[in-house]
Amino acid sequence: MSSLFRRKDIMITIVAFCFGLVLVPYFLDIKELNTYANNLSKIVAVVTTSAFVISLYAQSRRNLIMVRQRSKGWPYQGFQLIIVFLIVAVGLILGQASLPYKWPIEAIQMSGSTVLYSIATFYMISAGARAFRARNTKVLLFLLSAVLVMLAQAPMTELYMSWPATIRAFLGDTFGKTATRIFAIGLGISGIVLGVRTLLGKEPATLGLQG
Amino acid sequence: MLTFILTIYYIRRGKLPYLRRVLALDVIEDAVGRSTEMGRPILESYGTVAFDQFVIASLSILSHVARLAAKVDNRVIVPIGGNPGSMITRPVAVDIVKSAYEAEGKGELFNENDMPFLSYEFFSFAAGYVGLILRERPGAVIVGPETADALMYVEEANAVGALTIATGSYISNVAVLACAANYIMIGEEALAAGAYLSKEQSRITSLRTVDIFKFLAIVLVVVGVILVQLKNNFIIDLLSI
Repeated sequence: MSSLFRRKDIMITIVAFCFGLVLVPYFLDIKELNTYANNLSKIVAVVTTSAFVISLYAQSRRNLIMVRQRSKGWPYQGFQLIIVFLIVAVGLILGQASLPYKWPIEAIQMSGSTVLYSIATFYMISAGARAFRARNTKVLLFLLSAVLVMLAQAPMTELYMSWPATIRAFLGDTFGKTATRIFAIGLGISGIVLGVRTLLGKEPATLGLQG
Repeated sequence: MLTFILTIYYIRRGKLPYLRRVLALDVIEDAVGRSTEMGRPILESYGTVAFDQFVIASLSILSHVARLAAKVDNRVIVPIGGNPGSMITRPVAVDIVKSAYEAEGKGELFNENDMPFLSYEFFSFAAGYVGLILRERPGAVIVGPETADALMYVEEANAVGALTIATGSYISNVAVLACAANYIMIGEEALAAGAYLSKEQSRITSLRTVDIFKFLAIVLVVVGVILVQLKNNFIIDLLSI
């Protein structure tokens, strides 16, 4: 049975059918089709939720195998397994509002995420430092624009001179906006073309197949 | 609807359009070769969210990279996670890499442990990804359509001497990735990757539609600017319908 659903033509038929079911009610107000489209969205939500459970199972199984085989980094896998099931057990027994459940999330995970986000600043500085080399005319122009924009962004500049702000506004409103719009137009059209290729089975990788 | 019809027309017509070289895609083969010569694996990600256009396009790139790596008996490490949606895309990615190795007759080289699910929390995934780069020291890192975390991967990859190819799928990311990465796919270049890398005529011809619509957009912009100067809002009204 599963091999039937792995056939390219069957998969593409299902994708095309779902696409039609969602697209047609967008243009035509047909009550029955609207109901089917809504049901399809509910099915997607159920599948997503199921994917959580399946992923938890698959990940636990993988971690267990790695611990049992003493693969590279197995202590971390074991530690991860213990933490995951400990948090699930605490949540089920004491409830999600309990302190032992909230503490690891709020005190460890959230603060860790914040630290990582702030580290991005250092990565930016490091990338910027490498980019500050005018190797040709194009890069020189890019660099000059960057310096002027940065100059205008600095609060101190505003106190002493107004011209960097004018240049920044000009660069942003002309080149910046144009680039953003070209980017958006290109992405929008390419997205549709990619969708058509997918519907015609010309993007087999999406279905987990080889092209 | 017109885009839809035109694309189907060009796919059926099969006449090859002019195709501009996309350096970031052309260099993938060299990146795989370089990694293999250095005795290091290739690390590639395909985005964190569930299926959107960028993930679909990046999966095509993954398929191509996995096949190239299988040919030269190299490993492809694919960190997965960053969003609950990645739980849905993971089985597809695993299937793609597995079938790429099988297609090259190297099925025994495929190792699912090289495609770890790190975390569905965004920055926990980022920490795991950076850790993977530092531990595995890949020869090439192909960063998918990531957001705030993309720069971290590219910079760490640079630190371990890897060749970096990044997907600039968000306008706010493009400038910084252009500075940090060795090669970058900008916006639509990434979306055209599947067709471009396949070298298949019927897939490449579909890219003609993008050019036609971009040309139309340019004409509309130019005519619009002229008409607005003449106090005529025809184009603005037309586009506001």
